[in-house]
Amino acid sequence: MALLLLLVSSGSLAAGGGQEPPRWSLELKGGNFFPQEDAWKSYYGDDKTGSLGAGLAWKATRQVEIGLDTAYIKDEGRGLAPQQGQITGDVTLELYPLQMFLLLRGVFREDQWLVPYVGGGLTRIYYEQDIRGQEKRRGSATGSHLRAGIQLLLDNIDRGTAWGFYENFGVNNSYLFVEVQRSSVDVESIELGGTSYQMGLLFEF
Amino acid sequence: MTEPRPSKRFVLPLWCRLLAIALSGLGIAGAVQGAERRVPGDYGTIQLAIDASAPGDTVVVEPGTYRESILLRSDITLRGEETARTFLAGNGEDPVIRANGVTGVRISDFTFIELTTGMEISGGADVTVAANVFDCGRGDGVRVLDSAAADISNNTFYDCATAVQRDNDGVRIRSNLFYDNTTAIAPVTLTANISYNGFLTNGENGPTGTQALVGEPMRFISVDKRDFHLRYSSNVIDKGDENDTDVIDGTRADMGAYGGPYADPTPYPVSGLGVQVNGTDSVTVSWEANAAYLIAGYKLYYGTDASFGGSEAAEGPSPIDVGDVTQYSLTGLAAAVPARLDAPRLQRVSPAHRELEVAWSAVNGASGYKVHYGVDAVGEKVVDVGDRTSYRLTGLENGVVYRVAVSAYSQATYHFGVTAYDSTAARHESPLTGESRILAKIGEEVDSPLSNEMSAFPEALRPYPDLPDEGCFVATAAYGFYSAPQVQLLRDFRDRYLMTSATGREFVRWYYTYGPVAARWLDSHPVFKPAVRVALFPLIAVAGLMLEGGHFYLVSVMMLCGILVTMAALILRAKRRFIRGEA
Repeated sequence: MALLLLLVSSGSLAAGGGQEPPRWSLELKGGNFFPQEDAWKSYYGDDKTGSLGAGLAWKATRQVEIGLDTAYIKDEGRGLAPQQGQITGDVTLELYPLQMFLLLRGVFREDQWLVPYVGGGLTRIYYEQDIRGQEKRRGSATGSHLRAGIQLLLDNIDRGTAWGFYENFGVNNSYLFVEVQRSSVDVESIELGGTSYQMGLLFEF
Repeated sequence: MTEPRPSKRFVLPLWCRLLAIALSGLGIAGAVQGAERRVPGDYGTIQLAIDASAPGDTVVVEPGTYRESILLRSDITLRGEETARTFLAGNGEDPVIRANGVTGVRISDFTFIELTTGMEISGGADVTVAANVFDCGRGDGVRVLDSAAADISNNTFYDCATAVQRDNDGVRIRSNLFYDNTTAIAPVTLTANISYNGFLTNGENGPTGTQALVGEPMRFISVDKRDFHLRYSSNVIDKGDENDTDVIDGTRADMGAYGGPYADPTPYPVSGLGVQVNGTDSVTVSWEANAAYLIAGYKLYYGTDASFGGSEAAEGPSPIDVGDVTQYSLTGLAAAVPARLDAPRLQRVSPAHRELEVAWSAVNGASGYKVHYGVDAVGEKVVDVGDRTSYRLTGLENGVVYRVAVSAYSQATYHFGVTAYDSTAARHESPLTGESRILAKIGEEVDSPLSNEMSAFPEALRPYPDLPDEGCFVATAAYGFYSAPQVQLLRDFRDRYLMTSATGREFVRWYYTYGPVAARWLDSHPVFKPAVRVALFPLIAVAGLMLEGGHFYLVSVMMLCGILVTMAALILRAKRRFIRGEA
C-alpha cells in the first residue's frame, strides 16, 4: 500500500508541463558483482567483486527504452596447481561486459516518486586472465541478461533546482536508482555470468 | 519559474570563516605572526604553506625536490633548510617562482634546477634573492621587470642562458658568482648597482660593474654533484660586498651562495663510504674528503641499528670525533649474538609456474635466514634471503620435485655513518644522508639447525574459472606480417564474423568487387587518406573490441563510456539551444 502511494504523483508539480519530453537517458552506476561460479570465494577470497559502468538509452516511448551499457569488473586471487591440488600463485581476472538491452518502465506521471522497471537483452563479455609468470588468456563470449530495479525521482526533493537543471542543461529528470541484474554467459560450460547489485544516477533528457 | 535559492557564494565563505574562527580559537590555525611553516612537515606543497602564511611568517622547505609554480605573497620569507639538498625544479614553461608586486619578501637557500625560468620579479616587487644556487640547465635564472627595489645578492649562477636580466638599473646585483653561462647579466646597457660579482667562462659577462673578479678561479667542490661550496684555494673567498658578513664564519662576505648574510652553514654530506672488516671485532671505515674551505674534521657514528647508539668500541662511544682524516678503525665491536638458535619451522612450499613460494616461522634472535633447496639433496643450493620470512624460488623446472628447508642465522650487523663539521665555533655538521651510511657484518655467524623439510614441484597454474585463450591476432600481425595491425584486425573480423554468415559473405563479395576501385582512387588522391583513416576508426575500434583483449578492452570500455557521455552532452546541447530558442 505504501509503495502504491509512493508510485503515484506527489501532486503539485507537473514537471512535464512546458518541457520537451525526454528522448534519452544516461546512467552512471557502480556496485557489486556476484559471479555464479560456486568456488569463486576459494580462489578470490570473497564471493563478490566491484563493478563500474555507464549506459545510454533511447526512449522509443516514455515506457520503452533501447540502450547500450558497458562495465569494468576486476578481481585478484589465486590459481590451482592441478597436479598437487593446491590453490596458489597470483591470478588477476578482468571482465568487460558490453550489453544491449530493452527496458520497460512503469512511469505513468512525470512527477512519480518511484519508477519500477524491468528489462533484458544481449550480453557480450570480454575477459582477460593474467596468471603470474604464464601467458595471458583472452577471449569473449555471448549470453543474455535480465535486469530489474527501481528509480527514485530526485526532482521532487528540490523542484527549483530540477527546473534550473532543465533550463540550463536540458535534463528533464534525475533519478537515483538501485538495480539487480542477472546475466548468463556460457564459455565452454563455464558460467561467466552472475548477479549484480548496483546503484547509480540516471539522467533523462 | 525558477525558485529563489540561497547563494553558494555566500554560504560557503561564511562556513569557512566560522571554521577559521573556531580553529584559531583552539590555536590550530596557527595565525600567530612570525610563525614557521614547514614543507612538507606541515603543508603538502610550498604554495599551500605560502597561502596559509600571515605577514612575517617564514616558510621553511625541508630537503627534497619540489616541482611547483610558486606565486609569492608580501612579507613572507621563503627559505630552504639546506641549500645543497633543497631543490626547486622547473615546471614546464612557467617560472618556478613569480613575485608580482609583492614587498618584504626574501627567497634564500635553494638550489634551482632544470629551469625554463627560475624567478620572475615584476610589478614593482621588493624582493631579496639571496644565497641560492641556480643550476639552470640552459634555462634563465632571474628576470626582473619594472621592480627597481629588487636585490640579487650572494647567489651562484651556473649553466644559464641568461643568469640575470633586468630592465631597470635600480636592481642591485651584488656578490654573485656567474660561471659558465651564455650571458651573465643583461642587458649590457644598464650598468649601475652591479658590484662585487665574480665572472668565469661565460659566453658574455654583460656589465661587470665595480669590484668585480673576472676570470679568477672559483673552485667549486663539484659542479656535477651540485656542490657549489668553495675549496680552500678559491679566489672568491672574502671578496663579496665588504659591508656584508659571511654568516657562517663571521668574516667579510664571500662571493656566491655559501658565504653571505643568509648562507646555509650546513656542510655538504659525506659520501664514498667503504668498510673493511678486520678479524672478528674490528673494522676500518673510509670516506671521501669534503674539501670545502671551512671543513675541520669528521665524526664517525656506529651502532647495531640506524640510531647509531653504539658504545662498545674501544675508541669510545658513538659519535667519535676522528679529526681531519678520511679513514678510521674501530675495535672491540663484539655485539652479543645468541649462543644457539632454534630451527625455524617450514610452514608452506607453494607451487607456481617455474617457481616455489616458501614460507616459515620467525626465530627469536635471528638476524637472517637461508633457504636450502635441491633435487637430490636439500643443501644443493643455499640462498641468503635476509630477515624476511617468505621467499620465492624462481627459475625452476616444472615437474621436477625440489626438496626445501630453511635455517636461521645470527651475526652482528653494524651501521656506520660519517659527518663533516666545520671550524666555526658552532661546529656546523653535515647531515647523515643515505650516502653517508654503510652496513657491515662483523664476527662469527651462529647458524640454527635446518628446519623440517618439504617437497614440491613447480607446475603451470590453472586459473579459476578455467577460461579458454582465444589468442591475440594483433600481436601476431604486428610481429609476423607486413600489414598494419589495424588492417589485420579488420581481416580477422572478416574471417571470424562476416564469413560465418550468408549476409556477411555477400557483403565480402560486394566489397571485393568494388573495394579495389575505391582503393585505386584513394591511391591516386592521397590527400584523402587521413580522412578515410578517421572514418574507419570506429569500425576498427568495434572490430578490436570484438576480437581483442587485455588493455584494449579497458581502453575500449573507457572510450565507449566517453562516447556515450559525449553523445549525451551533444544531445543536451542541441536541446538546450532548442529550449532557449523557444523561450
